[in-house]
Amino acid sequence: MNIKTRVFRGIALFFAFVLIVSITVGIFLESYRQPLDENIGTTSSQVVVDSEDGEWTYGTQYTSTKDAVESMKEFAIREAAESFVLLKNENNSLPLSGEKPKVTLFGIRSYVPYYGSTTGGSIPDRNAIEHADQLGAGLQNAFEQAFNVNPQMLKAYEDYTSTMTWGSQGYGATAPIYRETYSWYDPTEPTLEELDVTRQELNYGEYSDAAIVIIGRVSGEGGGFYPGEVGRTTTDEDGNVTNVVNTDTDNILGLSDEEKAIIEEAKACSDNVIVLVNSSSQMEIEGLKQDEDIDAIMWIGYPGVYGFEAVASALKGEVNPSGHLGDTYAVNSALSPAMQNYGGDEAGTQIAWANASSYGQGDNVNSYLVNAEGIYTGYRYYETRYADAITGAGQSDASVASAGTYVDYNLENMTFKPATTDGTWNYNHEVSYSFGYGLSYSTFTQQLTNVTVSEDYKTATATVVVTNTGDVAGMDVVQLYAQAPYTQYDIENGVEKSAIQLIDYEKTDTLEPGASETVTLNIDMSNLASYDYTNAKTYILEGGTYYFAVGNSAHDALNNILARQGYTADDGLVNEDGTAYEASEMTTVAEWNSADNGLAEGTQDSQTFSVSDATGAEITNQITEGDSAMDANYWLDNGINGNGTEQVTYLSRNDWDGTFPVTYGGWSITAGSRFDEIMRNDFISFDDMELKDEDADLTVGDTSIDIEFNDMKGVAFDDERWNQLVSKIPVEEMLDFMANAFHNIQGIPSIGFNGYGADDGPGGSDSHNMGEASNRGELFEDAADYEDVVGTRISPAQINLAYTWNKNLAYENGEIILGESTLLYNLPIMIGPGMNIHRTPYNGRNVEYFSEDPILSGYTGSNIVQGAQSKGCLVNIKHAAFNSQEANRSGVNEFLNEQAARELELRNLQQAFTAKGRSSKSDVEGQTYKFAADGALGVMTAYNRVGATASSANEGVMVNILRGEWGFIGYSVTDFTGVTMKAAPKESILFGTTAFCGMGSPSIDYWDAEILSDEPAMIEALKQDMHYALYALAQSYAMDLNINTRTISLVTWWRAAYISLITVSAVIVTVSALLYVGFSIRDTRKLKEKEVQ
Amino acid sequence: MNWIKKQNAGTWIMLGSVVLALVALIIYIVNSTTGELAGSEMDMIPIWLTIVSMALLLILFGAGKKLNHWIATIVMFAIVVMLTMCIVLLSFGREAVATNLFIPGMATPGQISCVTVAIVCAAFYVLSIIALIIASFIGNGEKKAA
Repeated sequence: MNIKTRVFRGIALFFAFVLIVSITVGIFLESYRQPLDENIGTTSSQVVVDSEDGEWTYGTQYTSTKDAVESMKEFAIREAAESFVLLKNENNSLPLSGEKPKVTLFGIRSYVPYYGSTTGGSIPDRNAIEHADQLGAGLQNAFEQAFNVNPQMLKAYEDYTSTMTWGSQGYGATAPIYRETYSWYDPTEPTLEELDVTRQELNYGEYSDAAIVIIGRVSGEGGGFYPGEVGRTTTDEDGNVTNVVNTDTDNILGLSDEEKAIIEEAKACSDNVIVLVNSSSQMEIEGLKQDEDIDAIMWIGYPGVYGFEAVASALKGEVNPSGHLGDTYAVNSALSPAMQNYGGDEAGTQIAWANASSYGQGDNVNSYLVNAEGIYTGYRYYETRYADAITGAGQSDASVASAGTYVDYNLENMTFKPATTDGTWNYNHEVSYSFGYGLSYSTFTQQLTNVTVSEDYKTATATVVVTNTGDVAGMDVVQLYAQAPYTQYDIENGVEKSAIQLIDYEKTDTLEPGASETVTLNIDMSNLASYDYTNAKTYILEGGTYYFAVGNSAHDALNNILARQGYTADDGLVNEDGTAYEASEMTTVAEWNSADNGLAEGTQDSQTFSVSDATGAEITNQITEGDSAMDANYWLDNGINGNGTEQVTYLSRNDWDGTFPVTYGGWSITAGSRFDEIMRNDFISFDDMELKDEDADLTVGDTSIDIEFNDMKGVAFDDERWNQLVSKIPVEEMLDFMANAFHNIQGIPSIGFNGYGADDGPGGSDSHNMGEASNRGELFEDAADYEDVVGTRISPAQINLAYTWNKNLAYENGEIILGESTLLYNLPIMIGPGMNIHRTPYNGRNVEYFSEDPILSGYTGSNIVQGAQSKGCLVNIKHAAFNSQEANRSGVNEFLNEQAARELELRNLQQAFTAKGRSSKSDVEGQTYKFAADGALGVMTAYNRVGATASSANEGVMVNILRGEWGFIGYSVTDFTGVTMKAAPKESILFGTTAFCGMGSPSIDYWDAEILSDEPAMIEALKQDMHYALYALAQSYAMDLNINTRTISLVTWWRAAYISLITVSAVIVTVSALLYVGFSIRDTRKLKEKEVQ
Repeated sequence: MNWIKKQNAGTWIMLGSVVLALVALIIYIVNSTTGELAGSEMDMIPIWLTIVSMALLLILFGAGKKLNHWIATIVMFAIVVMLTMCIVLLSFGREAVATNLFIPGMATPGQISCVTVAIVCAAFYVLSIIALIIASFIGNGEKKAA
């Protein structure tokens, strides 16, 4: 063969290979164009207005991109300013006086603070806060404008970080932080020695008006802290220990030796030492509280892109702190009941399934969490045990504590480690700052003037007069708590009661000195009902005396109630600071005797709250028994081998020490049991499926039906036309819609529904920039000027919002952060708000959620939802439900008894799904806070299992409670499972899942239109789910876009690249092949000619 | 021995292509049956495509110049297409696992290992294809007589 022939053959072969590869790459790129755009900043599609009618329901509130950027900044700073919690302020050391005080900043966080989380949905992008700071955001800029900042100390940190890498690692946004300065196992605080600087060089004397120390802890999706030494130990890739941090509590959330050293430097610098806590997980800060040389402590959480401007304002008194804690700051959180069952096998907690290795990786079997603490998380534990220690309630002394369950409180050494011997539980040794605590630069009084309970005791109204008795203007928070009677019936039936619970709250306007405001609180009494899962199997309200109280924390309110009950300091009533309690001269407590409304003491009403207000459905046990069971005790009889444990003992206030949770380790799954079947995510066979409605219309793909998505605007959910619309969709398109939901809403051609984008974002969109800002599909004229301004994820973290205790601010947050993301970027779905309740401070993702309390969390979330939905944003509340930790989050079994499940996580979520929590101040004429009849119309399920099942496949929660009791009629998407077995797809479809978020092609054998078309129950479910999804989309901005716009594809560089490659390869293959053929023929002729010659 | 000495570089590179394809096949089977994908149904198509490719490569190797060059060229095209399709199918088959790497803290060590091994497998397929393409430039069979 001639050399030319071989060359062209080789070239043809090579480009054939390139051709196939480039076609494949093209398919991949088009499949992932949404995340690709988000990550590399391209725009592969664009919305174009093609309607002259202008049938728009929603529209942005901004008039230009400039207006949007500036207004959002203003909001972000305002939100941050309301969220800071002043915890300690000795001798009014704050606010700092003078026009521009001279200060020295201490701590690595004073140079590299946490603006938000380092991964996940509350992460500001590093491009928003370069240290060059050209946008005016960031700590350095804010502080240098407000203070004369010691430049030598700044330079020391600048030099220290000069060789580090700016920007966190990970998918999506990268956080504005040096990569080497954050770790889950080390606060990464350098000493002066490591900073390579001396006191003399730092010139403290010139900058000693105040020494401001900022300490913090990291947070984010996929991460978490661990108690004890394992949580303080850094290892290298080979598992070798490289560093162990020492702390005053033995936990990573305690103060490290290095942090204490830098605080000592601050003391050497100034007599006015201020510590700012830059953390979303509750740090263990008793050492700061008790240190007399520390003058002030302020929690600043994660203030967001612009929030340090508000921090500086708060330090100078231009803003009066008005935030209050939404979580308990325990002295040593690792000793809480919940922490006895936490984490996964990687932390040595032994709560991994002993036989997990016998399951395939795809089964998603790893570990389990027994929530043996029952309802006693956060303040419900600390305050109830405190109350019982005072009152002597229960069969045993609440003060008696076994080793390892209370704090070895050593003030001399300033250590707060776990006690190693049996001893005494002392409230002041357990809690640094109670839930709801917060100081102000001013002082306020609150008088509970009356509480009126309705005749049917379903609602109540309270009135509180708040007066600013201090010298400066400020806002105050009315926290209304309640106490229900703990009765013999409760003890006999395992019903637990918290001695105090938040029932409602409102924030005042800014009150000038001497001014008063009368605040009304509208109480939903169903939140006072207890769930009795053993006897009544529904919510009960018990006869007796109920107490309502205000206070500057749960502890303060409880003290007020205990004082009303006749207890005094002599009985042990103490304030949070350890001083003896003295009753206020104001009326802070109101009583309601249920007998006045016909509910006699010693009786139980199991009727009033046993029927859903939203749907009329009977409320009864859903997750105590059967496939949906979350109670480990059910499964211990039905497929779990408890390694010697026959029954889980739930914590009871009747015997604190005797029922204090143990770690339930070493459990295994019994092969062949029902539990085993469910764990394999394939537990309802097609043969066992039945139609819910014998007369269900199973028509699909009927092209004769003359109706389209656009015709459904304003059509009620139960209108027959929905069935017609859904009947038009072929099964292939239903499956296509469901399987392509990663930041995407797949189009459905048969009904004229175009596809749209979505984005992750409790904190707003991070994947789009202001260069895309548009109004009703038309780019703002000045949009191009703002391409450098990243997204809408600029406000403080979600936890900060909760700590503002301001319902209307939460509504505004929903409008701006989620709602405007939808409108400016044409993203009908925004994945948020994050609403999992805080079970422990050790969950690294608490930053994206609100609080340990279901009312503060639920009302905050509900207001966000209403604000967002008022802008056409289809929210996806996440993660339903019980996503309490990140360790082993994909597949971990969450076990709770039904009382704990319903009174904490579910009560929290219920508020948002039933549109509760509207502020009484929203009723004022002229206010624009609109609460719709619908609650949230979208939800994202969780990675964790709910009991045994995948979360989306739990019929009890996803169908009977969410849809049955709460009346949810919306879009339900899984977390990032894709259509894989770990989502139990067919069971999830049966139980209301409308989409599966994830990447990758479905790889399940039954994910096939032909197979599913033969299964009537699946067709019925698919149609029902499409009805839910399309109804929700029809209420959103998607309807506006679908009516008024079309989406066009744009040529991005990557699209141009793969198309060019395909084209060039194809041409070269063709030409080379032809030349090969040509030369081969010539060779053959020549050869023949040679042979003839 | 004589036969071996007579073979040109293209022949040995083609043999190398066979060996590389065999290594890729072994890695594919191990990757599909252990760790993350243990217990899941293995896609048999890449296995058959690789085996057929290897068989055709061995025929090319053994036949040398005796094989009609038209047929040899068509076989080479077929092998390149089949081995490339193995890469494509391998990629689609690991797509769901690989996507976990995008979510913070989501990917398990098993998933990371699965994807890493799959990348190594794909690399061997690519090397096998490149070896064949190089061989196609050179041509296989006995060296030309001096």
